[in-house]
Amino acid sequence: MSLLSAKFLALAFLSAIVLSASRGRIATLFFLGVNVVFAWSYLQDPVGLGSTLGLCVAGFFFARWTARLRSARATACAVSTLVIAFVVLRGYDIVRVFLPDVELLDRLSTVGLSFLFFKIVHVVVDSAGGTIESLRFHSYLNYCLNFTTFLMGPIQRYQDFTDQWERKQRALAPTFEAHLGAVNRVLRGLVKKFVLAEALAPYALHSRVASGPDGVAFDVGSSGELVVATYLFYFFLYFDFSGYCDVVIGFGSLMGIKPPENFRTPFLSRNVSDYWKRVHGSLTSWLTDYVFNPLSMAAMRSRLLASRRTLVIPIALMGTMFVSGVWHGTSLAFLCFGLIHGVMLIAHHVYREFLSARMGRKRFAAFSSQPLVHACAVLVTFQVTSFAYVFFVLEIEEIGPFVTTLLSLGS
Amino acid sequence: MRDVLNEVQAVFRDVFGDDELVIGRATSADDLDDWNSIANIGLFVAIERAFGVKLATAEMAQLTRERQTVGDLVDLLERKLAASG
Repeated sequence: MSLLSAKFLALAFLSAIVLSASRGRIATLFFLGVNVVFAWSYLQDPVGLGSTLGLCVAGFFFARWTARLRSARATACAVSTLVIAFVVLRGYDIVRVFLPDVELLDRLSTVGLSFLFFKIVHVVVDSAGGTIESLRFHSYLNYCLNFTTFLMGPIQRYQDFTDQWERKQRALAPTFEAHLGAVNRVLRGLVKKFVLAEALAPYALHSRVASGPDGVAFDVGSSGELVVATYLFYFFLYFDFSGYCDVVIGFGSLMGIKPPENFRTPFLSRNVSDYWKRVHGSLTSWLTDYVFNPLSMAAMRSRLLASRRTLVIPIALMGTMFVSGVWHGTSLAFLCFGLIHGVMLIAHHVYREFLSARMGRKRFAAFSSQPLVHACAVLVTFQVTSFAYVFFVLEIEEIGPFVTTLLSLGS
Repeated sequence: MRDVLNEVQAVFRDVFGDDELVIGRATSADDLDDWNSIANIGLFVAIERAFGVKLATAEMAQLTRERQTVGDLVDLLERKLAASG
């Protein structure tokens, strides 16, 4: 069953009907069954399904344990263990250094693992902090395995999921128009993903590169064409991913468990910080809450950095983007993708702080909102974020030939 | 009894560098242009100092969630102050 296949859509349609008509134990068991069937359809291997369920169960016990102890040390221990499990399951190269010949590693599941890992860490940390008051196993399992968001998010929070599941919070107004709006959203998402993204795909950067025995070659006639292909990859990714999100948010709304929004017109971003709020917003929110905030606060409380407070935010920004990079993929190029965004976020932070100090906050805000300054900021942000995707699409050994091709071909 | 909202307002004025800033329980991140994730760190540090409490990662995450307001921060601080006696 592939992402947004006919089978996925049929399963989502069936779930929307059953879950909108029932609640309680029947709904819980039905949804659990659907989620396990969905996970099995992807994994097709008892070891793969076992490793996924094992990670969920381990997370549940860690959450219960940290909720009982309420100790920072216990939480750090639980999260560290989950990180190690994630690194092993995801198959980072470093694992092969320590476990070179373990055949079982290849059968462990990586499907949906990145999103599952972030959801479990959130449950453990929030249980330890007391913001998840009661953690029930069946709700937790349905939260972790929720098939609509299992493969590619959006990353929902447990409190948000259970509030909607228990109908303390409405996913959708009880009106015909609201339900029609959710169906429209599904259809809009399908058009984005299967019409617009598919139409752009042949012209985007990922389709214009070929690696063979003779090296890396780009199927373009000029530098300008390569630049356009790079821009088109950004548009392709937007239509593909935001289309998928529209479909799962639409179906989620009909099921009564609407996931959070992920995209808000990213092409209008005024700076890289704004870009991360508009692109994959649920990931940005997770990274802010569970990487950036604790890193910044630890650095602020640290005696080591007591006289160097100006370094705290740059260190935390770089640390957060490092996590973002390695979370996106196991290759070196993804790490570079994260670090480049770290550098760009720091550059924007320094620019903002420098001008705010010189001009004063109010004058800087007025300056930034001038139409010409705003337009330039949007243009520059579009350029730098488009080109950062080169590290998202290409392997690290393809970056050199990309730059050479860009510089050597006539415009 | 401590006027937590008033003390929180003093922290906001200091962090945002605006002596005339007025906040209420309903104030949210949407109401202040500069209230972003970086400003949050300054706010958390200043609040920990002003009230002598330590904010857990989960509490900070809850405070920065959508639809959260200054009122939620005030409620959290009152609970923490009551718990610490």
